[in-house]
Amino acid sequence: MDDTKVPVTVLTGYLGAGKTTLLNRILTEQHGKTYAVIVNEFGEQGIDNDLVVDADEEVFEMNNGCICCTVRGDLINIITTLLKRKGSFDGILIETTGLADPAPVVQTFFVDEDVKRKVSLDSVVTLVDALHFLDRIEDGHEAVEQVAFADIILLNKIDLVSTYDLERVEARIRSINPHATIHKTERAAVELDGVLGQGAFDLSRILDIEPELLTGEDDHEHDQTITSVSLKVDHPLDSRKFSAWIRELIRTRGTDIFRSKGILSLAGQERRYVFQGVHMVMDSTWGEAWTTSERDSRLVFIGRNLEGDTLRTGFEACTIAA
Amino acid sequence: MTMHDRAARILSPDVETAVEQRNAFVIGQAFNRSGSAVAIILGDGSVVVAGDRGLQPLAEAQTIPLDGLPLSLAPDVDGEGLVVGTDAGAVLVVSADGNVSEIHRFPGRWIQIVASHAGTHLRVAASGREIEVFDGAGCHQRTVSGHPSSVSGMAFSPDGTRLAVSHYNGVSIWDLTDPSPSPTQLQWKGSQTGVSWSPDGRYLVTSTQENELHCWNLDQNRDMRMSGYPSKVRAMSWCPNASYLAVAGADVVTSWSFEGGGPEGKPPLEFGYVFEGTVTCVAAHPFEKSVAGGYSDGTVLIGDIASGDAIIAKAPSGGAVTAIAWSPDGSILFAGTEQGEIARIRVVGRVSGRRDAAEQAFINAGAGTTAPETAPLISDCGSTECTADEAGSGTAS
Repeated sequence: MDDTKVPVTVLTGYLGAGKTTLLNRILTEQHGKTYAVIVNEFGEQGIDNDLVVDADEEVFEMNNGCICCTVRGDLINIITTLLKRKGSFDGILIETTGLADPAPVVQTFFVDEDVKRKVSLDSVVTLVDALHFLDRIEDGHEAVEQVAFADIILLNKIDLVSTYDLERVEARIRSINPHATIHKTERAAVELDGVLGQGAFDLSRILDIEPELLTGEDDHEHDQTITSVSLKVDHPLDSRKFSAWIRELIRTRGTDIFRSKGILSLAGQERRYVFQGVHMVMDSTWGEAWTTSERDSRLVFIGRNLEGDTLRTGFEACTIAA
Repeated sequence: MTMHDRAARILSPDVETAVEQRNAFVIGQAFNRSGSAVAIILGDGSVVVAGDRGLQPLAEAQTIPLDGLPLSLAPDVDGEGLVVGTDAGAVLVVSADGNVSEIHRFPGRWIQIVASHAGTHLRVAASGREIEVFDGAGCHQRTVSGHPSSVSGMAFSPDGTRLAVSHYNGVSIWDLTDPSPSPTQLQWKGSQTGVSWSPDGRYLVTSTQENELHCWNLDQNRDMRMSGYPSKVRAMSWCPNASYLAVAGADVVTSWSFEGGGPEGKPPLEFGYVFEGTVTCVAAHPFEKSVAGGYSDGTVLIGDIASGDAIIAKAPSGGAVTAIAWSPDGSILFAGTEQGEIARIRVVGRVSGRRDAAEQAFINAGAGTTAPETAPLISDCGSTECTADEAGSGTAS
């Protein structure tokens, strides 16, 4: 990740899950760093910071052919304005409303050139209320989508539930998003090293987990539509085959694919090819060079109604051997 | 004189460039209407006012600290002042000799855009979805509200009686002479990021988030797309007789011809192929058919629209050019960058070739508008498309 870019952390989670508590914890800790904070509504709880900007959530559809490509126009404006400020700050924290769809926020960092050039999305942190989560996910799709988008999950208010219930909640979270790092907390008390400066969007750590441990055949045991699929192939990929496959996949299934991430070993390339996407918006870069022993290609999709076998067959057909 | 100053001086026989360094983002630059002073708003929360027609060295110019970040800048209604909007909600007037007076304060609001009109003596300040209107005495006249999203741009009609406001999904045109108006709506889907009104009053053009412009012919109630940009359109500037619209957003400075039948079916004229990066700012010369363009690498070019000949007015450095402004007499160009370089470029002689009839007519008229030589010739279909090819060779459809 480009060190000269300002890191942005997005905090999502249902109303009452503890977003503002976490925000104030980050801001008051003695870390010697200053943050600009963007909130969507000034809540009853004050925010203890010099630079707090109240955003008016403006979700703009792009007409570039991606039916689900939306951005937050207000964030483009606020962030480009904040970056003109001299000396300014070490990072930006964005608190979304409880019912916010994380996609437009995340897509903003992929789509707008000025934002992309100056800031990088460090991670999406989702707060989950251990007591109410299982009810929330029955209420609507927002709570599930917030978990699906997360790089880091704070499973908060664990003091309010039994061990049995906590396990049920955690299992449910894992079934939606097995890749996020989960921190179990009371009153959002977490080491900030576990939340900030993650570079989660540069993926290196997330995909380190062996996919075999994650994909779980037990996905089928749950009656759920949002889940994840992890794929791995050892043979190097033919970049043309892969490119054609992923474009077609994103074009036809992008609405259902919330997040996609991959670290790929392309034939003839010394360096890792790293990409990530949100719905139909993709971004890619060259990562570190491979050492021979560890070359393989990994892909993760989190989304709705994913067909694991079809995805696996498609991905495997992209190798030079296929 | 600094090392940098020496290095940047005299890049061409026609321009003399001096670069001074301030350690703050250059947010905006504007001359007052008389041209007696230039103001520069900076990311350190100050405004710099250089008198002596902008020739006063910046080291000797007044630097006035404000109690907030200045976000917006425009010439005031008279010849002398400049209007400044801040993130502390202040709408200020800064005089040529550096006095600051507060017109109004809206605590907690960001004043993102300001504009004024010399004829009607109106000042407007946009914040969020609302526009505050003040008269020349500084009295708050009204709040214009009801826009479907935050206001992204404002442009007065040439006579100053109407105000075009860009926002999500189109433009609202308000009649400022009507105390209880409902706006005329021009619709175009998507995020419009700015709006400009042609100096002859006949066209409104928006820049969009989606790598194109949208143009309405107000006389004929038609609209068209002007597309082909490789990135989002960043700035627009009209030649004063409305012959050309210069646009920043491609790797070259593009200028769409509005002579004859308008831009339809014609590729834009282009100059400045040789440089890396994209054009981030444009400013049309106040009376010649030439344009100054600022680039993402800090270069500034001044080019003749018709011939495509260009001269280097500032060497690449200091990060992207963020603001660019001509003096009203066209003799000085100011350009500022995101890393705080401020270039004062004195232009000796003409940039473009011979003065043509339209330019002479414009100069004779003193200011304002001149009618185009021929009436626009436009067919009867709905939304049509013009294309600026990003490689440089434009095509039209």
